[in-house]
Amino acid sequence: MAPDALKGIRDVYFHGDMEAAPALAGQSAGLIDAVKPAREIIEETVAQFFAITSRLGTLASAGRFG
Amino acid sequence: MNRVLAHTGARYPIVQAPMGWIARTQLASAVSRAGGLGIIETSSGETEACQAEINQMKALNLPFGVNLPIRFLRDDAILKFVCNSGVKFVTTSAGSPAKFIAPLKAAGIIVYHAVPTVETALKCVDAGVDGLVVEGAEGGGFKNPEEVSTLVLLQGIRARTDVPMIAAGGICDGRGMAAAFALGAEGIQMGTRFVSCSESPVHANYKNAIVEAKETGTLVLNKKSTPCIRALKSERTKTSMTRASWRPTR
Repeated sequence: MAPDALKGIRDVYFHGDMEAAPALAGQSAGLIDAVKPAREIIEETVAQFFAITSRLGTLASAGRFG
Repeated sequence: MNRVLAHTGARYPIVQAPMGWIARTQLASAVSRAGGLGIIETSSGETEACQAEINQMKALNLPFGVNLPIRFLRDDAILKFVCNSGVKFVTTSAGSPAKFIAPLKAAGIIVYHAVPTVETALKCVDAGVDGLVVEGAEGGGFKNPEEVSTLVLLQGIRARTDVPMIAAGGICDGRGMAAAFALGAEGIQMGTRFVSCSESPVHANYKNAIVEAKETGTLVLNKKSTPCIRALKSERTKTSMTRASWRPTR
């Protein structure tokens, strides 16, 4: 079983009582600015991944840093 | 060839973290349908409910995995169930996977263990895991008090072993994914991002609190215990920040 500190976590999760237990979250909470469907999250992540790796690939083929 | 894709059968190497009570069919199926890998939790300790969720996911015929948090399991009921259930991919966490690897491998299951330090990673590789979930201190929920960042952890582990790594902690988009791949990861796992997605079963207050939080909006509680916990700052955690601990009041 999970540690005692999480007693009450279901009240946070399913009843929205944000003081019932520590509301687990990572630092990426600071980067998340909208509730979106899982499909949108995944498709945006993949598109952004390829945009960035393609830009880095261009740097590598040109032998430049910017 | 991406080994995480080969091991999971997913279209994209994007894994949904196994949050207790939250990571069940409603969320996991949305992630798997969108091409990622949904994971069913068992850390809630609700063995029968989790077994039912695993059966539901199987019936949908989508790629998925199951998480077994070793230290939190009361007995080996869920381990035995998973071994006999046709599940193909398991992440283990919270404790040594050594005893779990033999039965899981005998059942033909791919096993990745979640690790917070280089030393633990090397032990797991020696014990025969197929891959690692490399979980930096940025992530939410149960954490190792050593608090090594994802940036350092991925590099430290990649320098010493060649097993596939799924990066976790601090990643919620393609920037984080590209960064993780630059450091040697072949996949990413996101928890907070999927807790706050439309299909997540949690209350709107919780999703909104994540959306509204800044990067300084979380803290690590109960640092003297293993595992400690990263959670959102709140009225109650604010007042307990000096001792940075949390005790249940009821």
